[in-house]
Amino acid sequence: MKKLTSLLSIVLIGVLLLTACGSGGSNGAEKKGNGEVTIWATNINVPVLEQAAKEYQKDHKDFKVKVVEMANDDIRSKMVTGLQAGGKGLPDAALLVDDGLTGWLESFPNSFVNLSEKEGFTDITKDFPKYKIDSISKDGDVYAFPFDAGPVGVFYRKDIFEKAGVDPAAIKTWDDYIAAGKVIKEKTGTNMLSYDSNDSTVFTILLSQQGFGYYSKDGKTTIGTKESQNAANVFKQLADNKTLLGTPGWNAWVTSLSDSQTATAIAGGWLVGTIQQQLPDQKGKWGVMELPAFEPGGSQSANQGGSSFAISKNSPNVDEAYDFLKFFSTDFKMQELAMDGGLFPSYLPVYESDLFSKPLEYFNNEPVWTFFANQMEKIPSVFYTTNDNLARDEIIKVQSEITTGKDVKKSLDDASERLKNREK
Amino acid sequence: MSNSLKQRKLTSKLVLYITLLAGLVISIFPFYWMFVGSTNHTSKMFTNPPTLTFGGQFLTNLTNLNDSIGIYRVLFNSLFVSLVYVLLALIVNTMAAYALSKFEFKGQKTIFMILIVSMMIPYQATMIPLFKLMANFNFLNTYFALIVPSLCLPFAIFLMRQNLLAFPTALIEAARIDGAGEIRIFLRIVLPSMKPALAATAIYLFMAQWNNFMWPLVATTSNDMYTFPVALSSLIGISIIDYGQVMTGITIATIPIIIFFLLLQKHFIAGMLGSSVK
Repeated sequence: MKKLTSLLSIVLIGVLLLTACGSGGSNGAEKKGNGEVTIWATNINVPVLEQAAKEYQKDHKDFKVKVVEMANDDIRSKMVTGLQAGGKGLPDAALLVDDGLTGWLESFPNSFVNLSEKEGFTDITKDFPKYKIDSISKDGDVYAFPFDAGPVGVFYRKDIFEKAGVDPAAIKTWDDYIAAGKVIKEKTGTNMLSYDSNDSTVFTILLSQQGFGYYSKDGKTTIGTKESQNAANVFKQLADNKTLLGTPGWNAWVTSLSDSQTATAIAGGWLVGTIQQQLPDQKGKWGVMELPAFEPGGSQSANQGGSSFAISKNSPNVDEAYDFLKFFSTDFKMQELAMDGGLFPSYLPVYESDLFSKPLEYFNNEPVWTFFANQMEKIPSVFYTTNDNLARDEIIKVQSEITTGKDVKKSLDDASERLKNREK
Repeated sequence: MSNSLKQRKLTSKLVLYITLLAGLVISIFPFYWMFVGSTNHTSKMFTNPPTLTFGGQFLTNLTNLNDSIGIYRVLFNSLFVSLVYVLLALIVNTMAAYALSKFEFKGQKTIFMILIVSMMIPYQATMIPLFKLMANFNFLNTYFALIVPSLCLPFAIFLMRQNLLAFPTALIEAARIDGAGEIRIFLRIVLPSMKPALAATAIYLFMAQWNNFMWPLVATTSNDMYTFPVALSSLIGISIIDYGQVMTGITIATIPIIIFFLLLQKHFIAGMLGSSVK
């Protein structure tokens, strides 16, 4: 027995030693008020934030920042875990995707700092497009520092359009777009649109172009409304003409672009970075145009993606985080830095910068960024809720139903029924 | 007659080899694709027909990967966590299994049943309470939090118990009569014949810890404590993903598992053969 006790104690001592060497690593946000601001962000944001911190430190000698790099899905898992654990283990601030933030503001009230209560914050908001501010507000209060945005455009292959003899400038409405798709398929055999059929991004864009998210402000779903039928009809007609290509997942979608299986792609401005990185061989072949309208003269703008910095209410460094993020979000040079790092800022004054009028070699020296900057103030506001992810899930089913022959109205109504049973 | 028999034998062999070859290709191809990806620029991942030849980008990818995640630190974290975990978990689980299989005491069966039933609780259900516990103890972002919570693994106890049950109790009793202490019996009599089982359990524990993603993800809060899977996941951007880096990272992450398996393989296979002859 004595020996057993001694063996046990050896194991226990080993475990204790482990603790000791483990806590040698810095503990970050857990220690109270150490003045080091921890920020979670995705890959290309990290170098931008670190460089911005260096600039900031010139005037704020005591300021320290730790930017932790993680994938967007991982930020989501970690945030939800922390929020469910009552705000434990959260960073001082995190870069959160706008359409997810509103859901958390609903489900976990009092977890994020209400920035509108801070003195002078309201003056900042006028420098950002209204849709962006709306997407990070709840009951009129703003809960995040607006950062990047995803103004949408239709990316199209100039060579394929030319070969088919279709003039992209003549495409004004979705009907024009669908008709052009038919011609392109006949003349070149290429599909008009490829989209990620495991996701609902294109449908979401078509809905938000008309000023709607998946719920209206009175809490009713927009699935089944006239606007959702408009969006679904685009899919339906493209599919009926055999000009639509659904790809399972992001990678398959990028492959369909790379393999010239499609004449257009509908996405936020961030796609500029993606195709430059992944499709270097298609240099000079791409152009960008506005979304076609649903009726002549209708809205041709929408937003896809974009994120903002929220500050955790539990943070011991709220003031430090606030001051730094305020500097970062509203400084001309810092936003130029972000633009340079591949992020499209939503800070309106920065569009004066040369970076935006600069011609892009990849796009035949067209100033593509000016195009996207001009979109920003035209983008309609969209309302996000905590149930949006369920609605998107139902829309993925709708997409597959209507492209394989099911009636649009019936499919949407069924989805709306299913959604009612799933809502939180 | 004998000719046609020969022919039939040949065809059946041919069919067998073709099936085996297909299996081989299917299991090897992902690894081959991984190596191809790690030596090419990320854009080569999306070409059609697919790029199947090695490129000259490996060092560039490696440098980029090191810049984004810091390979050495991450590799050290993963190795340290996994190896220490395997060592401690082997001790804990083997001793538990030994007690549950070779000692008779009140509640022995109940304890074992509870352990087995606990295997059915989905991990997601215990993650948040565990996270809260670690946060309250201020253990987040430490090696302690990565290693200790999963030290007692019911499956490992089950695996060791099944093997220990086959160990003749008479040997233990004989040793006791000869005056050996319990620790001595365990270490000198029981464990040496358990090598194959220990090797199998060790491989299982190592793989489980090396590939573990969800817990290290929520339990670490800074890049310098990331384990390999978490660091690799952090490479995934919303619209920008460098597959060259990802594939290079996966290649490096695969090597330790292969080495670990090769080291223990001898015991492992000896164990499988040993039990078949009995």
